[in-house]
Amino acid sequence: MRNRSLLVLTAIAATGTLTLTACGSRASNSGSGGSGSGSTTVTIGVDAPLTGSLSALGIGIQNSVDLAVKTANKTNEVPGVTFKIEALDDKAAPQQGSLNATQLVGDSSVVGVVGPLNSGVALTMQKTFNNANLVEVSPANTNPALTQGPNWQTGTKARPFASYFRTATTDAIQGPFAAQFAFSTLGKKKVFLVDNKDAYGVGLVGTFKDEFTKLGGTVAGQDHVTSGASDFSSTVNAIKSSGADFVYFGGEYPDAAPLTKQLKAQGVNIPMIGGDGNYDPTYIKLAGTASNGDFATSVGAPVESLPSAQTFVANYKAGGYSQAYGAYGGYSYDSAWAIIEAVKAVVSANNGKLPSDPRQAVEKAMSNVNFSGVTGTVSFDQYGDATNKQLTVYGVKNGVWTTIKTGTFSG
Amino acid sequence: MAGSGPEPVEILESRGAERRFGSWWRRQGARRRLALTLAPAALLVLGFLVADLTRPQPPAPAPTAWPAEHAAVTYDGYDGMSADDPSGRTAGFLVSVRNQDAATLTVVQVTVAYRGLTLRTAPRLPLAVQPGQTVHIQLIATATDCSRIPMDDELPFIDVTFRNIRAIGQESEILGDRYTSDLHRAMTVACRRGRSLKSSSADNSSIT
Repeated sequence: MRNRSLLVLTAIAATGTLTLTACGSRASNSGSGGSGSGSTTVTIGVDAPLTGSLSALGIGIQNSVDLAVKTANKTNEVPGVTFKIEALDDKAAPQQGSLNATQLVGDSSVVGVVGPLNSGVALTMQKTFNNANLVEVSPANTNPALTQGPNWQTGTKARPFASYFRTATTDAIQGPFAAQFAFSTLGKKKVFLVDNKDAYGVGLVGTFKDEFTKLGGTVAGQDHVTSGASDFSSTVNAIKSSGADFVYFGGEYPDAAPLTKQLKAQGVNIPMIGGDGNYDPTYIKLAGTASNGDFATSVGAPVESLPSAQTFVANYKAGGYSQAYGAYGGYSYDSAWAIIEAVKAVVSANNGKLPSDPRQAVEKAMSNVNFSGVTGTVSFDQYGDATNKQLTVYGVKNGVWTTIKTGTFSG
Repeated sequence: MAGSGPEPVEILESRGAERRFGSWWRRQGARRRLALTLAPAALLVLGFLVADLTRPQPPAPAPTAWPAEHAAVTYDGYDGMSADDPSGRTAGFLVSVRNQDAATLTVVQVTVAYRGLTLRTAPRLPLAVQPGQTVHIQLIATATDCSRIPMDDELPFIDVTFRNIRAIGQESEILGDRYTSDLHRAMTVACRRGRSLKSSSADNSSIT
């Protein structure tokens, strides 16, 4: 009898536990799904700075790809194929990026890579990936040369690597758009240019300067800073004595934030305008109230404003990720999904089975990818650039980034 | 395995079953009897919870997009120098606006950032665009201060203000290389007070 009553109680407890477990799974949205027995598991690599001063952006990229992979598995997006993620930390260093590219190429299960964040890192990875026909989709690289070759500015566009794609808008649009905004909207006429000597910063300042001077603006001075430095007093003094009415900065927030803070501390109350490298809440955190009145352009429209992004935002929240998806989250999800779509096309064209070495076929399929993603329609032009070219000007108001205006390139 | 145990499953007369149950029930302690009494109720509540959580939710109403998000603006070409402007400082450009939303979209205003250029449109704004429809708008630009019109910038754009039932918002429309080229050529001519202009993209018809 005792055994029977225990059996009843055990059954009740088990039922309750199973029920609660089911509720928990649903709420956390963390089930990886899986496509059942007999499925092939392939890897989507991620390369981004997961540690160091840019890790806020890098982890947002990693998490967003993780969400795409989990979603694809849950919905059995590619029957017979299960996706997993392998994320490597490039520490925002080109040398580490190069090592990571070799490692990802060496893993035969990797069918595509999302990343990197930094254009300077991408330059060291492209050739390695291209030699292995391993697709690389960056959600954040904005240097035009990555897709259009080194002579893009003279009108000679030539795609250097067939395996490289990106969902981010380039600095060929970002720099001039910022210049138009500064000159025409803000009415600023004298700029002091600062870059951090890397590919992204120098390139962005170059495209800005070109357009700003064509509009009639003048360059009051120019300087370069070393990434990671803490004392920018010589640059601050140069800006102060130049009489510039704003600063344009090419680089990232770990350098931009202390520069604007030290500038304002010296009584030079002119705005700093930067690119997508400045657009992160950490910029405001580091600069404090000195950041009020500063501006930054960033790729894409604000994700929160896109009807297409509502599911992504909700699922990211439900996924329980501790870090924000950041400036590139939507583009990272779309980058991963573009690879998933390409894998799907390859499987479909191969009688429902993934070829033993699918990389070349995936690379070829990428050119025809076209789907409605988080950031809008996702497809690529003949250079591997996103056909959806949007960007936004944000301004710091009362300690938060606020949308000022969004631009769409339809040419 | 639920049916196997020390006591085999028996098929009993109901009265016998009641007697056996009563005897078994009395042997249980007070706490166990309370637990056994509450268990079915707890199971029932859990059942309702599960049913509620797993019940298919009615689809959420489709969100109405922020106006600019579902408006596609494209440059259709140069429309020539205006014959109506004797000063020869006015030129026309054609754009299309397609409403890709499920709600009516209104084009409220179109402006250019150049301070030396004024802009009007034909037809006059505001202009309603029905879902799925495309409207064609002629931008009529007059050079009023040539010193404030850049002639070689790379990314001129127009600012278009849209409205739908949810919001009103402005978006910069960067119309691309063809528009840039046409704008520069037209303004070069306008600022020279010239009248002949060959278009790079359309015929040289005059604005009426």
